[in-house]
Amino acid sequence: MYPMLPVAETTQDELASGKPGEWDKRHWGDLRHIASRTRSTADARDRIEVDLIPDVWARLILFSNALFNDHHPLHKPALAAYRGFLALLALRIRKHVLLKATSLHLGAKDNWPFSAAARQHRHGHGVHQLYADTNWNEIYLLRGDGGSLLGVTSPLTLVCPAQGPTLKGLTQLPNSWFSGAEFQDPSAKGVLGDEDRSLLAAWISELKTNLAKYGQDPAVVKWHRGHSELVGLLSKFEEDLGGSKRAEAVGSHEGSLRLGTSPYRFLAVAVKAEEARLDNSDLILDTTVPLKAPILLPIRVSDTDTIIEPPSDPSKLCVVTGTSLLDINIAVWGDNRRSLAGRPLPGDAEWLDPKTLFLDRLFFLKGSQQRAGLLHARGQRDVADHFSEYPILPFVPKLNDLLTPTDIVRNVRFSVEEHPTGTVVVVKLRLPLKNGRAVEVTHTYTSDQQTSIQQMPVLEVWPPFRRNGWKRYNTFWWSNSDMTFTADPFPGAPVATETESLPGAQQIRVTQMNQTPDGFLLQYPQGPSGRATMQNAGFILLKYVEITSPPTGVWVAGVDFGTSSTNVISHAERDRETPLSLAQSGPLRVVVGRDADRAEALYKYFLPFTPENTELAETSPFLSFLRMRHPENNEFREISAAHIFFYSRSHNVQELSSGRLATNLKWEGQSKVRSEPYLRQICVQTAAEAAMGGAEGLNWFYSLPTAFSPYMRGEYRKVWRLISRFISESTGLRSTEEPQQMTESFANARYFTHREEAPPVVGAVFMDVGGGTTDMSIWQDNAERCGISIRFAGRDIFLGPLFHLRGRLIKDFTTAMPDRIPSATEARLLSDQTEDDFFAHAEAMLRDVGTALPQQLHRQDKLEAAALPVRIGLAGLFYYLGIVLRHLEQAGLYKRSLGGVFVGGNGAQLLHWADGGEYDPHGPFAKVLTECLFAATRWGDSAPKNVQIKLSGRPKQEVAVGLVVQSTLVDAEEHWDDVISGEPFTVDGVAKPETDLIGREDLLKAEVSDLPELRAFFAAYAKAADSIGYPRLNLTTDPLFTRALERVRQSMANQRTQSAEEIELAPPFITGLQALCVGIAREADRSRPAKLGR
Amino acid sequence: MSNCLLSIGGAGHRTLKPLVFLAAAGALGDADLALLCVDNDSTNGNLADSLEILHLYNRVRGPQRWLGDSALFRPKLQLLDDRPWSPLTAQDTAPTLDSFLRHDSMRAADADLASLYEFLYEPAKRNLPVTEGFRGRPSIGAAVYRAAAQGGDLIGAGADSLQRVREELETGTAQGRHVRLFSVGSVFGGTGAAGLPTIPSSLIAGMRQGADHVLSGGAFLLPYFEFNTGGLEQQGPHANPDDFIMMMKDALPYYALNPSRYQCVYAIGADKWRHVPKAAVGKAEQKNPADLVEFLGALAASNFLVTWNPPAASSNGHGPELFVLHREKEAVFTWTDVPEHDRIKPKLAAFTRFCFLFLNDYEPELRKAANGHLKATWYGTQIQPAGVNPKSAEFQNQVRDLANFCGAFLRWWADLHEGAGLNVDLVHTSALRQWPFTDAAFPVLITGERYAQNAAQVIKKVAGMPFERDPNLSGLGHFVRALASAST
Repeated sequence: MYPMLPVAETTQDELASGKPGEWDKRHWGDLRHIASRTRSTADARDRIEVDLIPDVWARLILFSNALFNDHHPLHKPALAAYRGFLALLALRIRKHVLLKATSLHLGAKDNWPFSAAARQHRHGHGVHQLYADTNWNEIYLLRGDGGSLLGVTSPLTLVCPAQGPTLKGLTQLPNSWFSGAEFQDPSAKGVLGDEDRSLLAAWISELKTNLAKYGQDPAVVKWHRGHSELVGLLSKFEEDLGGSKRAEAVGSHEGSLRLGTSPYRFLAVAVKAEEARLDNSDLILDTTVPLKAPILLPIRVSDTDTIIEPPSDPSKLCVVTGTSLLDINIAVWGDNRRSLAGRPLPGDAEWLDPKTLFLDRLFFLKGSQQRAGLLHARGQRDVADHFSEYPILPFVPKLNDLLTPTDIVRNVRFSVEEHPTGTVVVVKLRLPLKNGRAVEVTHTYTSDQQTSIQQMPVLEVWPPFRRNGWKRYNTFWWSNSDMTFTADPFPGAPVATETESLPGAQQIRVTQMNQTPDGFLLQYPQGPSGRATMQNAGFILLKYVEITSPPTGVWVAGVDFGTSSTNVISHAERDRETPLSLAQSGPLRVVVGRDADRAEALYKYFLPFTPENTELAETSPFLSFLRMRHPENNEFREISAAHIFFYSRSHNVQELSSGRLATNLKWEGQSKVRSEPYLRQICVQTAAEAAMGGAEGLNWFYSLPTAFSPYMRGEYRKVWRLISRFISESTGLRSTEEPQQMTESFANARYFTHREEAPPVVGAVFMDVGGGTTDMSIWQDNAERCGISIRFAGRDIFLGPLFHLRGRLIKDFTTAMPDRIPSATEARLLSDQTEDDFFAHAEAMLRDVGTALPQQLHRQDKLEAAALPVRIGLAGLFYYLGIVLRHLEQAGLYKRSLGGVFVGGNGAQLLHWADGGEYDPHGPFAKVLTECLFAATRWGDSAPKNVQIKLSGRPKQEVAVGLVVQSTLVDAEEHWDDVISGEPFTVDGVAKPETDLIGREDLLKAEVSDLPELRAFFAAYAKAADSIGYPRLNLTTDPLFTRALERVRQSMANQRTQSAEEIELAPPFITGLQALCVGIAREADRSRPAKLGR
Repeated sequence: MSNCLLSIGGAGHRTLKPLVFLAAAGALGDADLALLCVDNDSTNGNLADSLEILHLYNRVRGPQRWLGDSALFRPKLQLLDDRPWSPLTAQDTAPTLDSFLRHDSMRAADADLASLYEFLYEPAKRNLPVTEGFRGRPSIGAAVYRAAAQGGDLIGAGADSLQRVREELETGTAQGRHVRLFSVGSVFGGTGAAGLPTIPSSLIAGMRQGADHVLSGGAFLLPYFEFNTGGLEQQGPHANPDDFIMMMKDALPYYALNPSRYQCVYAIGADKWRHVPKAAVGKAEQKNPADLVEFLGALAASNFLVTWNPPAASSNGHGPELFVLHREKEAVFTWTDVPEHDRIKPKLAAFTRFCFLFLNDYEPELRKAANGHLKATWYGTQIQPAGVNPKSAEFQNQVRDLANFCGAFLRWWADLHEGAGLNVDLVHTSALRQWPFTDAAFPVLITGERYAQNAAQVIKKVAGMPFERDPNLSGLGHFVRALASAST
């Protein structure tokens, strides 16, 4: 027969039998039979609709139908959702999902229409209710974070999960488990990690056992078949999870779910939360950088730009114990670095999205930067060659907190690829992980994501090397364009940053760092408006010069801090003394722009660069000039706030008149605000060169003139102690000794004795004529008999008179050496209004021209005018020396014998000026000097013959060499407070001869009534000059001596205003001589044929 | 005493039509029947069609029945309200489940209850306009109907009519007699599926007395037609024939476990489905052709109202009686397959012949009678003696209504046979396709038999029948009795 029913799966079933034409009476339950026999035309569905079931609870009923019926079109999604939700209940605490249960009673007094419609009466709902004690009118609502309803209890299936896009509050779960709208079957591969699967299986086993025990009481089981099917369903779930291998119970009653006393209560049990630990974490960054706390690097599993190498099953990659990579839903990583996807990380650990390390844009530097001091990542050079522009590392600064520069260049790879849309640059960053894996992030920069920086600044770092213990670095940035990048060194914060704004939109920024900069963070203007808004442009890493010298032990350095220039001699112990040459330690050129910009910027505003030909390197002595970025300030940190002015005719002549130069540093008063930074820079540069030479330590020697007051000596002692400590601490070149102080005269003696074979036994005079002082030491029988320092030297002998004669002479200088003395220099010299300015400019000029100028002037017969005051000054010095010898002889300290007078020092070069361009020890001027000397000694015929007056073989370097030379000379007594007056004087009415010592106490009270010795000297000089044919002096001398005497008296009066400690020893003869030299120069200028315009 | 019948939803309403024909043919028993339609959509085309025939039946039958003890048009079919009952009130201009259940207020006052409601009904269902029915989502209707019956009171538009059904039941059972309540609808749509398990039980549950004496039966129509859904996509959610079977397979177990208050249920479906060419979500456009399953639903009602007796008390506890139907041959449905065909077939066959002859041979003549004297023998023997005025409007209206009813009946036969998935072979409808009919077809009108008389013989027989005055007959009554008798 053919039943009037929908098509059956088979034609042969019970309902197919019947009699046509009659109503065939059946059991009511056959309705199920009709349903089951009917052939389904619908395919399996993935969506549960509430349709034909005419009941308010249709959703639960349909879910039950689908769950318990393998053939139901919705069975698969229902089973997946059921399993997924059970997993949520089981692992909710472990996965940090906060679930709350609310009991909802559909009470009879509730007048809401829905409540009335849903309420079940008397016998309750007859649909497949599993257990008698689950009440339809008492439903538990299971809510998640934010109150979203995740599911409800169901008398049909114990629990029924919610579904659809409104389902919220489960963002902690991975997409594989919860898609955002549906639960997935957690037994499927890749949904849960092994540990979670095992724990879930154990939880299911426990639930199954509890239900099975509960079902042993037939009175409580309402639908026996359903109960059996549920237990079977749980068994299958457990089996699909791989079975429960745990012997111990995994459940606990943690959490706040309260689900009554019915079998719902079995669902309230949850697997214990595992303490989050990092022991087994697979995502911890493996780095040699000391981090404050571990860094975790989670990735988005679905993101093909971020992968873990070697490829690993995400469910097996541990984030923290109990949490796999799959558990970390990317949507809710959040902003809290200490909590990932709602899971607080253990300890101080933080997480970081590795993709955020990349910049959105890739910036290029102009040019291929072949000569730049940059460290390149793999492929970075190739990209630079391809584009003829150098790609900057396109990362945020944070990367430098994670990896060392070495690791960065090793783990970053650049490549160029041709895409249909154009040429792209692909940058890969590999971040090593513990346990041997790595995160590799790929970022592709299309052409519209690339920016080319065309304006290049000068960017330098000094020193150019990385050395253990070296902590003192300065970076230099200069630009004359707003449309270029700025650069901040890293790591660490700058100790100081100085800026300068100069004409032509020039900007300078010098930064002092107390640790080695690994590189620079670059910023580039975001729009055409320049630096108003800047954007990160990535960073560059530095490739420092390698120190290749083998260790050479402790070096010594002698510093002769002169008035005009400063000499430094440094050497390893076994090496010969050599002047400091900045041949290796010039700044590191970080990026390459215009060469001309670099040279000028460095010379003007920073440190001289290292030339390719090391013979052209800046070599000691250096001018004792300090360039201040902001002269109005009262503190000048070396290099950053002020730096030594390394004069270069090509680059920084203009700076001489910029108003930013400090000269006369040596004689700075009480404060050492300029001299100290000058010396510190000298020393740190010395240390840099020594470090390049393999030095392991550095001991310091320095000289001071005896003319210094005790206060000044004390101040300098403090300064040098500070400098020594500073060098030790900031360069790692430790001193094994305290800085050693010597008088310049003693150091001079050491030099001449050991390097020029001077005879300290017979009797020798060592004279160091500096810029500001002349130091004389007199030796006999291998002992120093006297050491005198007087403030009368190069400036007094030459520059002071030259200042008065400048209108007449400077033009001659320019004419003589036009290629060395540019017209700008000439103009500047002529326009200087003060002696200090003139001295600075003239000393810079003389440093440049050396001895060539007097020779050239002599050839052009223009030397005489300049030579005259020089001759008188030098001859006066020798006359004074004669008085000193007379004093020594009278005191029984010296016998009439003299092997020679050895002249050194910067001022010694004046001998060339005095002697026709090139000093001849056997020439006429030597004779003048000898005669003046012995005129003062009054030795008469007993004066020794052939006394040589010898110029140093290493002009200017004598004191510095003497400081460090190995010497047997002993400085038994320092003669800081002794000078010979040179002129008769009275103290408290007591007459003293010119050969008497005049101490500081004396100077407070001394009176001088005349200058007979000065007159005697001038007479002796005139006689000697006349004898050798020097042009006769056509001077009216009386006014000169009168003014000289006034000058002496004025000077002594000035000294009386000071304390004895502060008084600088100025012998009256010398003060008079100084005035005489100036007076003669003035007279000479007055008598010149025609005035030269200034 | 009246029995009661509820037609719920479109399929239920379509069942009314054959039910009326059965009543006209005398196959629905003698007891009067109070009817009420349940639908949110008062403009439903199926409903209008059925109500039209119902009204025609009542006009033919007349308020004071003029057919005496004739079996034709015997029971009074009392439509309790022209409008279908709906739980929606007139104020509900754009009703949805949310608005009906006062979702917004509920959420503000009882968030947990609202959450449960939202859990059970996703937004698409909650916001579905239900003016035109529940669109294949009976869970919505179930909530509405259950809520409407809150506390036993029936609320909504036309609440009085549903209350009158309850009053009919209460009145009928007042003297300890059984009253039968039959409900018909589909279980694969929206309104019918929602109402079948809820409304009868709510009605009975809300009775002040006599609930135990209500015999509740129902025809559950299982999927039997399909249509193209392409044109419906613009009209919002709707029933989808692709899902009928899937949904039915979920629904029937539910009914199995939730028999409601039924004692007797007829499950009727089809293994070969009619294709409905023009589908509609509701309103007048939703007007389906007659179908065998609906006819069988009417026969089920007939069986329940006429034949079925409740099981003995000792049989209680096994749930309602379930009836299904079989046919003999796979491809065709014949009179052999008609349930209770021994009772049903003679009545329908006779009524068919009656209609055939009335339309083909008598009605044209009776119309002419209005214009002058009709000299036909039958007129002289069966009309004139009754003393009617053939020119009167009353008479002519009777003629017209009867003719219309007969025409509708025969067209229904024709529809039933055409386009059905299953070949229905009960009447030779080819004879009905051409007007006027060919009298030669008369003897073979009913499939499977040859009537012993031809049309002329029947007409002659009518003409030859003696006029027997019956005070219960009026107007056409004597003639109709004679024709019915001659056609039997």
